[in-house]
Amino acid sequence: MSRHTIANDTRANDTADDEIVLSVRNLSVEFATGNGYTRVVDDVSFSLRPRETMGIVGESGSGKSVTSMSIMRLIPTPPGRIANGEIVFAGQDLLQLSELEMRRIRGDRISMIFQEPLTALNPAYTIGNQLVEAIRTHREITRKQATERAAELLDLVGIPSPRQRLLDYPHQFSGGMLQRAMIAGALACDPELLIADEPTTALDVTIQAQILELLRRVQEEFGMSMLFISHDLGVIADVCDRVGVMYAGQLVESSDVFELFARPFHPYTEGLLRAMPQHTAGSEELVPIPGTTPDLASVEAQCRFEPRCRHAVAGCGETVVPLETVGAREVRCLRAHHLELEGAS
Amino acid sequence: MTEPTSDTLLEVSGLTKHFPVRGGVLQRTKARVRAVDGLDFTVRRGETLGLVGESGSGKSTTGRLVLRLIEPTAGRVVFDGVDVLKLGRGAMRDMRSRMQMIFQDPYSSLDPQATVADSIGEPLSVHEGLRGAKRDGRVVELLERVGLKPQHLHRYPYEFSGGQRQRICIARALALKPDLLVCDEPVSALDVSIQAQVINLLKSIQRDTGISLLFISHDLSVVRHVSDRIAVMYLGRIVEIGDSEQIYTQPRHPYTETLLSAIPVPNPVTQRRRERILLRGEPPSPLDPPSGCRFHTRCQYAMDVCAVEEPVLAPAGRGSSACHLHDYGPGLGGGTVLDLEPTHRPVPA
Repeated sequence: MSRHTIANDTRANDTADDEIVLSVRNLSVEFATGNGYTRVVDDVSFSLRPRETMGIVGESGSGKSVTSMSIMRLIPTPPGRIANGEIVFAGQDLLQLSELEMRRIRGDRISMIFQEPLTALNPAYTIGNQLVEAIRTHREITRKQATERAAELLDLVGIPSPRQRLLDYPHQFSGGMLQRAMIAGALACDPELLIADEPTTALDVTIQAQILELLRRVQEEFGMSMLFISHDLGVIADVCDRVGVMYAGQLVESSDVFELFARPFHPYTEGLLRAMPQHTAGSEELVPIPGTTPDLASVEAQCRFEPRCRHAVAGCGETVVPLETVGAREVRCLRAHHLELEGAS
Repeated sequence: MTEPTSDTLLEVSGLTKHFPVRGGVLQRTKARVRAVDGLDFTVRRGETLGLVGESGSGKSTTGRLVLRLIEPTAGRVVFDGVDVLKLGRGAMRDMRSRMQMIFQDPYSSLDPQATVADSIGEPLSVHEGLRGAKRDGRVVELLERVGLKPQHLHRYPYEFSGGQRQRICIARALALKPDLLVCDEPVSALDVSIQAQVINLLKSIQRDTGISLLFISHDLSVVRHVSDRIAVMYLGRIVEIGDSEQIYTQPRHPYTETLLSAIPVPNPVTQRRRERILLRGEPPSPLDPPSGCRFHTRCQYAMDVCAVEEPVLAPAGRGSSACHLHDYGPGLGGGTVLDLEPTHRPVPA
């Protein structure tokens, strides 16, 4: 496998300076609605170390995808706007870059794969064309060299007869094969960070298992960091080193993956674990979280989970709850020190 | 196969659906997609049969065939002693009030311009001629049964969350007190915390009314919780059917074993220790399914006979399995496949 030495060199320098690849600080994102702006990501902070996989888990509307789109600067503005925060990558705040400077980073030093590979590819061009395009956007090499590299990449991600498959159009690929092709494209320029936004959600479980295995392998081979967005605690348990749990736009807990599942600090994390069908044996009743997620347009500053929380007491719904550091973990819950929450079974 | 008894509500035999693929200038049939290819199963009164499989297995087509929303190519569907496929239009319409369906996407299955009262009330008007306050009274009862409130009566679908919309769909399906509810991926579009609410609701309705459920899903861990028995489908065929716990803990077919091993367990300690079976390649096309056992091209235990002879469903434990391993090779004789040593190592990812 030929490696791009330039990318490797810069990476070596960055990590020597500072053991952080990406640092998201106090990120807030808002979207225009009928009456003013609604804050969909509220004061989110986390960082990624070299070769680490950080998972962001949350349900629909938790803000996990908006967070990842913000890092890529892909939030449509308007209606969206980044209201506050910094996203520091390799020593520079991505939010301060011009669109042109950002384009040099996207697909080169930071890549992204999505839930729906079919919508992320152009149906009118062959897979080969799109890979060559992606490579030549960032590398000054000939079309022939780029085609060579594209075939290598398809081979690397486990697509049989790669040279022939380069000539295929997206519709000629199955869902699993398309996601492999997307991963090949994301790896084209040897990125330092791969953002995977629900990369296996649209796939069958047996194909999901193949793709997760592939992501694990290429992460190792390329020495990348990975930000892994998912709603599925099973998938998170499988691939992540650390996890951030998001609820209603806020990070409510972040922790090492083993500690999080062994003993969650936030009642929402506990609720999610208990609601998983695997938590309950045989044909017993499942344990839902009562109620629904709040309407973000009308959330107040206090604990957003309080109306659904089985551990809530008087006071939980009245005070602003900050994200508190507890050892190497963080939690946003007033009662965190008093609760002994139930972990994964 | 279970023999039909007085307890049997639905009996399906030899159910087959081939979709023509047309092409060329004259739109001639070029090939046939064998979506469902000879299914036999029964659903008892008050029972839940789970139908599990991946995309292209034919599970959704099966649900539609049972309700005769599409016409089968061959086979019989007997509902409460009546051969559904022989019914004329009028009789079929009456029969439909006894068999209802809910779908995966509660957003597209409700008319955005109809209030909750109209959506749930429509079957009551059509089949029972109820109008006005009488109809609304029944709708309120149904709303309360599914955990919604009387004040929701005159609201529109956009005012509800996904979970609430699925509750509205359930209320509508229950309006005519059906004997069978076909649930096609009813919780797949919902968040985990809400998914559990809807599953518990379906189970409590079943306890109260004795309704039978045909529960179609790709998610074996969800299906286990609602089903008394589970049928596992692969490329248009049932490969294993049996008692739900047995399927989940002691599978009798290699494909069931693979499906189970592919579901990630929400516990990093257990998950990272588990042995995972990675399937070889992609699912074959239902246009041209493999010879012999349809799973043999990806099976980690495949033998020579598997490519030649198609296995039939034969009794295995508290259920049936269609697999040559029971008669040839290791001769499992109906035992679980869990302890077998693979003869084909899957290719690395």
